[in-house]
Amino acid sequence: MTAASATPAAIADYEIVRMLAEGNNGRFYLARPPARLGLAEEFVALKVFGDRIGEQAYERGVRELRAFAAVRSPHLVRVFDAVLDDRFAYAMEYLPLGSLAAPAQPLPMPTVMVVLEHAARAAHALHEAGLAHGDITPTNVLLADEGDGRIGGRLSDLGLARLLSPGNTLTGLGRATSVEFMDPDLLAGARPSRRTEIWALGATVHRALSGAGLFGELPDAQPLLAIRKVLAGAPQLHPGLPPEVAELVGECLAAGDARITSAREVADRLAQMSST
Amino acid sequence: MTDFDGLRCAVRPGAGLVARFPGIVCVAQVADDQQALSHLGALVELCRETAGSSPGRVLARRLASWLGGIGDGIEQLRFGAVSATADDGLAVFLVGGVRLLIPELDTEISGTDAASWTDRLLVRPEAPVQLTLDGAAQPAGPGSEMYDLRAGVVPGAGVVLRHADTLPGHDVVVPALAALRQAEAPSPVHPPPPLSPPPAPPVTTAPPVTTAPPVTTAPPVAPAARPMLAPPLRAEQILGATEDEPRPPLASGHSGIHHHEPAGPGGDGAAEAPQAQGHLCSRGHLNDPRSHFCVLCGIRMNERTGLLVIGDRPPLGLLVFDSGTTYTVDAEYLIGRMPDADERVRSGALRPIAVDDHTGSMSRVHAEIRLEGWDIMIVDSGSSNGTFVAPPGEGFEQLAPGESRRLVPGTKVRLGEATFVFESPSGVR
Repeated sequence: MTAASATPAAIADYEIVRMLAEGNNGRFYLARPPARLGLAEEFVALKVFGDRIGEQAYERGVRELRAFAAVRSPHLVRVFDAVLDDRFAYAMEYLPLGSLAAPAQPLPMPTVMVVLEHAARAAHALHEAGLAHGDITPTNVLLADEGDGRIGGRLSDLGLARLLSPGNTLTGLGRATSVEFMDPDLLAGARPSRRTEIWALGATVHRALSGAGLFGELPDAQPLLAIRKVLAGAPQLHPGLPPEVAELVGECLAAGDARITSAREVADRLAQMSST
Repeated sequence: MTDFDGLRCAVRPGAGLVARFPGIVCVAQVADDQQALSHLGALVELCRETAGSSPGRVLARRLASWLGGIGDGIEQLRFGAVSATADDGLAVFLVGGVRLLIPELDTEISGTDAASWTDRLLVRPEAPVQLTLDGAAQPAGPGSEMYDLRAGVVPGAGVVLRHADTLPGHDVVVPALAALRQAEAPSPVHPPPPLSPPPAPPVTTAPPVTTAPPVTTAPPVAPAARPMLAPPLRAEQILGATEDEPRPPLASGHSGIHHHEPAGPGGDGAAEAPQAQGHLCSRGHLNDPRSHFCVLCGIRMNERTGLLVIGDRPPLGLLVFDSGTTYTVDAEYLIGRMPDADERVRSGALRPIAVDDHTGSMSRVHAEIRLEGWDIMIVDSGSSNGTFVAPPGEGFEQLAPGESRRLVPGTKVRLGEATFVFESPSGVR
């Protein structure tokens, strides 16, 4: 559950340029893809998992990634290749503009709304295809140049932890605060469903539009305290949110039948707010 | 992940000097005159002083700086060094007629590739590496592969560095994992200051000696040929791969936790949920009959729930590792460095929790998490370094091999360097 320290020069047959980010059970590297892929791209983002896994778990991961890649949505990152060597890794398109959590440049509010809407549409496409993303957070909503000077959103980094290591509910190696985006029902043993995904979308919208967390600031370096704070407290909406956003987030987090039932509805509500 | 200092270093006989220090192997030859010999001495001393666990980048910088300062004399020097860098790289520094060869990878670099010197950073290869003065090495005699210079300065015209376990004849196939990295030369090596024009040469009968032209840009490198890296153990195409059977749309999910579908060891929910006897709270959560509060919603257990019912046992809590990795305790686990090696994991009876360990204090199969009714037990699986348990507010105590101990919420467990806490699913004790 710890990772190798230094940036290696190569991983499998990928030439590593530099590390991009760390989180969700592994590290992202900027890499040059091997010729066998025949890609036009000079660079890819290579996700390398921290834990060693066996071939069976690798095959489960490959099946899930293929199912992910087969989903037709313009708002999902493209995944090219999976490899198992010393570690499990997969390659996806490299998006240099960063993520909602760490944009390469400050984003105007209308852009943030569009990016969030795209993330919700991507999640809906996954759900319709029978997949749960499992790890919707601002870090995993990447920014893409739509080609016309506008910025759109791409949902990235399918959460594979549960699949690779059954029972694994939260991954280490990332920021402990990612528990902020996890429906507490998952900690209590619920399985990922549209319901838990919509909770994560709501938490992502909340963080992106208010800059604050639903549980205040969680202790990043102390995962146990972060989990206890989430389990013991109730999510609090930031008072600075515009009323219609607060209403939407509230309905994403709601207990019982009051919760929004599809990610498409989240996307449509965001689009409606953008247009008014 | 080659350990540089563990490589076998076979010296090839010939006119010249071979030196090995921690992290550095070099070969050199100079003309037989006082100035050149003092340069040679300075170079060997520089290598000796720079030696260490990963001196590659520092060595390249110091060599460049030293060569920039010596002025004339460089043209009579032949010098080559390979040294380890921290990121599993191999820094190569060649001056004059010296060559680095990695025959298995078709790699050849010469000190004459550039006007001043050649400075490269390679991925440290698994394949044998030759560093040789041009034309000086005598053919290797029988058994010479067994030569092994561990440290020191000896006569020789070149070296072959290889894994100790890859002697020819052993028929060991070593994956050739190496590449030239053109993009990143070792940390900025500043070009030497332009050499001052040579002092008016004394009248001599020797042919005029040309100094290296002033270098104003970084040493040129060969055009960026894309490296060939060995293919990985497994690789599968993802984009455009044949689609599997379409899946049914994702479930909507239930509003209550008590409807949860517990996952079996395989994680796909195929297994039946284990049954347990307990009390229901007023919201219908099944609870340990000993608890006074619902472990899931925290409300006080009602008087009317004195009746025992049988139902699906909910998850009993979480294992929160110090790394942040968290496992839901709704099945039994085997914790260790290589739990997949255990038959019970392979058969699906136990789920694996693999913990990376660099200290050697974690056993391959270290401890088990067992579920007995409403109790979660930890059992030491005969680990070498023991399993230590600290209930809330108490100190650590070692379990005897095979001994099982009940974990109450808040209990800390230490195995090797790893620690986890057993946490109740609601945070309510």
